[in-house]
Amino acid sequence: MRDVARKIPSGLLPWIIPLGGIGAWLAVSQTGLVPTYLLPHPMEVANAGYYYVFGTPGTAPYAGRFAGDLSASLIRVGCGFLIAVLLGLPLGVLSGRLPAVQRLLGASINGLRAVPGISWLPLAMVWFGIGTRTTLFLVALAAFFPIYLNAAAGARQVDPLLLQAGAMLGVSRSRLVLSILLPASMSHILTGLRLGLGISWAYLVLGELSGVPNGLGAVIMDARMVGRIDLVVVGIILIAAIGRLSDQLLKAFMRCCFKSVRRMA
Amino acid sequence: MLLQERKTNGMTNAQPPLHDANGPHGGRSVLEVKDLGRVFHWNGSAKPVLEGITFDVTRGELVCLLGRSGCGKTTLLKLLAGFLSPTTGELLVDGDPIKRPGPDRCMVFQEDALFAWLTVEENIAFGLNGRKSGKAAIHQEVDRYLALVGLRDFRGYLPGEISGGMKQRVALARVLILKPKVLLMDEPFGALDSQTREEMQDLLLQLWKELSITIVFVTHDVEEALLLADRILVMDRNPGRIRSDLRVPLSRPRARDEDEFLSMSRELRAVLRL
Repeated sequence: MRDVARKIPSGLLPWIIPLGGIGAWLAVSQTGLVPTYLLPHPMEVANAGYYYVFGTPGTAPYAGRFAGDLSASLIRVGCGFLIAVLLGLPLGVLSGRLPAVQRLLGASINGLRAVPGISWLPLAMVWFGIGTRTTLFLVALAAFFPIYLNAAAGARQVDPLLLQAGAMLGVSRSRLVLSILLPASMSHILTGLRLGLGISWAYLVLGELSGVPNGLGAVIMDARMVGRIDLVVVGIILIAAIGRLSDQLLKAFMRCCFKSVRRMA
Repeated sequence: MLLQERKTNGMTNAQPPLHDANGPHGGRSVLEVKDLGRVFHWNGSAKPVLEGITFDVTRGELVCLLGRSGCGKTTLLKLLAGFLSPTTGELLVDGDPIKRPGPDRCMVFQEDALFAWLTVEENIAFGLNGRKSGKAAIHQEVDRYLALVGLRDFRGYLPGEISGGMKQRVALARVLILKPKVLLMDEPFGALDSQTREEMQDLLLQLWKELSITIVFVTHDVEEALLLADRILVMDRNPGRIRSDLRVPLSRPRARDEDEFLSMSRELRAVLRL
């Protein structure tokens, strides 16, 4: 096994499973054993994807809607994620360092975390109606937990010696947080942000399934109702690709902004 | 008796000699510890860790706190640094009471306490950055201290990329650059191999001479204390007290294999065993 693994260039490794999956899909579709309303042919999907992304609006159903759906979804994910970061990071760092804050928040947050996100959907629809605000609420709620928990874990594991060293070197309290506490917790914080952004996409789709007119999740739900299963698959593939891309962008952004990410994570 | 007793633990009210003729640099006390006590609380019961500690350190003096583990020598150093506050007694630096950690009493820790995300150079500059000196001035200062500790070629390295001895050089430079009134060292070379330790001891003595620093150095190593110290404070445990305050009459530079050094180390070992 090891010899086999050594012969394959490592740049190729990540592609083996997706390409294998597409190959198997192609093979199954060619045999015609599975009806296309359950599993459309890859070419059909590629075609639908092409029209959805590059088609001229109006020439066919869903043609060229991608840009509008994408920007609607990006705004929802971006704002929801931002709310989660603005709440989760400071609260997490505080409860990681201050036992009083941990005691105050810990039990409640863990209790809320145990509630499956999907069970918030009905309540959110009652509170915020169908549309962007419900989606924002769900995304922010879901992304909050990993960001909060990892920031808390990161801040907690910072060696007190580093903070002592900082105090001894004459650093003010605010600089202590910015130039020692945050960099020293950075690898945990980054993990929390990446998990949070990942789950943001999941909850985006959930929020958009509730019947908003545009967005990538909305397209999936819409296409299912009119029986365009090929477009459902297109939506899934696009969300996977964009989710991955946004993770890479997040990492690049953090690298760009923080020495501690460049040098440690 | 080769080592000279200065005063004993019983004489806690004795006036500190303000102008000690025996002192290598002379001058007045920069650090005064008066009847210091510290109690730790362990689930309900109070345990005195330090009791009736009184001593003073003259400017430019190199004082070693020598004692076996558990005698409270690290606690004493933390009190001097301001990381802990005393239960009783007084701690003065240049006549001002110690209240919190500050750059006038810098510590070199036994463990690695460098900022892992900053380069050697940035670690050394860290304490200067908050001050109002210009970038060029900071750069020049950092250059000087990089050279002093012999790390010029390693300025761009991260702490994770250099050896334990080099890390302690960085730790030394980042506090010396702040020109502390007292340099506190908590078994700083304890984790190093013996060859590196000797190198670091030589470097410390050289810097001490060059920069005329005042140093309080904690160690459990008799040879290290004899090699470095003007004075050795031998500590007892349970509770931690100063048993004897000994002046080391050896001339510098000292050699570890001289007869005098060896007989003094035998003597000091006997004192430590009491």
